[in-house]
Amino acid sequence: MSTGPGLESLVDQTISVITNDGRNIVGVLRGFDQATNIILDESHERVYSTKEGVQQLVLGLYIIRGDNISVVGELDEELDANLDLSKLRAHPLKPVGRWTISTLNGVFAMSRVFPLTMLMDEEEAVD
Amino acid sequence: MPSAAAPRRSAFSSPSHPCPSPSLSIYFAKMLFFSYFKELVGKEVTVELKNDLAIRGTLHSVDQYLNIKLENIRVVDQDKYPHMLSVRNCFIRGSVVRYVQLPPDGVDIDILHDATRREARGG
Repeated sequence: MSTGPGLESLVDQTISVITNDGRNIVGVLRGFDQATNIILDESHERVYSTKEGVQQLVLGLYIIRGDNISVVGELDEELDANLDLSKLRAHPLKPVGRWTISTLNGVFAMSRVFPLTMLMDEEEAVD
Repeated sequence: MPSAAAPRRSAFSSPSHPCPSPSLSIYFAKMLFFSYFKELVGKEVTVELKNDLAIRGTLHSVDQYLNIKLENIRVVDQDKYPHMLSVRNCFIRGSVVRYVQLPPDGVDIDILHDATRREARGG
C-alpha cells in the first residue's frame, strides 16, 4: 500500500497549518497519522485582520484533527523572520464550507453553507 | 453481475505500486486519478481549494487520498492571501481541493480516454 507524500519530512520542523474554519496555526510538528491528525508543539495562532496587524495567540501543545486540516505548509524561518507581521493587513481566510441537503417547498436542494459568525467578523466592504 | 477481474493494466498502472485487488470497480476508479497525478509529478500545477485559496507550485507527490505536496509555491493572489508568505513547500489535504489546474501539454488525452473507457467497461 503506497503512502505517498507523508508528513514525515516535516516532523520537528516548524509548520503553518490552515484549518477548515480559516485559522492559521503555526507550531512544531511532533507527530501525525494517516488521517492527517497532527500533534503541534509550541503552537500559536496568527489572526489576520484588515484593521490591525497580525495577532499572535499562544496555544501550546495541540492535537489538530485531520478532518479539520486544509493545508500544512513548511515554514521557512528565514522568510518568516523577514515578515513584519505588525504591518500585515488581510481578510481572514474563508472557511471551506460544508455541503448540505435541504428541502425547499418540497424540492431537494444541495447547497454549500458557511458558519454565519465566520462571515460577519469583518464589517468592511470588500472592493 | 460482473465478476471481480484481476486489476486491469492501464497505461497508468505501475508494477512498483502494489494495490490490493479491487473487488469493486469503484475502488479501481480511485486508482485512475492517483495514477494520473503520478504522471504529472514535476509539472507546474495550480491547486484551487474550497476556501477559494489558489496555490501554484511544482507537483512533488500525490497519495492514495489525492493529498498533494507542492514545492516552491506561490499563492495566486498574494496580496489578498498573505497567509502563506513564509511557506515554500506545502501539503494539501485531498478533501479540501476544488480544482487542480494543469498545463495543457501535461495531459496525454488519448491515454486518459483509454483508461477511462476501460474503467467504464469494467463498471
